[in-house]
Amino acid sequence: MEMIERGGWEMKRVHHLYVKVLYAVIAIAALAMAAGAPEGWPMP
Amino acid sequence: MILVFAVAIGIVVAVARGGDLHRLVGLRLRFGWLALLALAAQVYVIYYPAEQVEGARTLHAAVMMGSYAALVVLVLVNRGIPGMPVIGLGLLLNLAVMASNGGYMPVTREAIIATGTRSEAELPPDGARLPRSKDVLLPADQTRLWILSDVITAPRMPLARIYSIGDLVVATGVVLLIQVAMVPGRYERSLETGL
Repeated sequence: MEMIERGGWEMKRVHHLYVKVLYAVIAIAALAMAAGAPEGWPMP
Repeated sequence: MILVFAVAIGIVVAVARGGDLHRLVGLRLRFGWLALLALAAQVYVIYYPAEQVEGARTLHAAVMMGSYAALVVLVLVNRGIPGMPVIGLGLLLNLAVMASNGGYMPVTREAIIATGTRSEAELPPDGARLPRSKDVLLPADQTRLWILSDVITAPRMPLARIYSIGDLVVATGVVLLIQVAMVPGRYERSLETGL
């Protein structure tokens, strides 16, 4: 039982870690795209 | 796209230097949501129906300048993070030329045709906004702070684009920011000592 609880806690911690990393990458990309103004942005 | 590439290149270079993506968690980016808000505001302006952009010109200029003001706040709040002052400098260069030309980034007809992104027939008359962009079409002699506008053409790149000096400074700052965030070193020491 303790193993399962610990495993669940670890999963939650890893999940939070990836969400935080994803947030940081998205925030940096958003900052870069919004601060710059190349012609054609953001057309593919 | 240079700005999206800057994020990707920054991450690849940081990993090659022994950096770890997980270390981005340690990046204390306060008010990071302001970047998302600014981008959302700009997406609204850029993707507004192309045939109606001239009618909403004043509102769109205000939204665009508001989004840049939000980014200035974001940069000021996070100025202690290495790389952020460089991003701030690029931001101010773009803001200066846009604010002095009605709220949009000026670009010349010749520069666009040189990159081949749009043909002459697709371009509106001088003084009009370019649909689906932050730009306004202006001849060089009618552009205030022309040197800071979209003057750097890159027709041979995979995605041909026209950049401003501010764009290149922002891209440099982004690469730098990712290095200090991912590669162990000075940044966390400065966090530990509070300097």
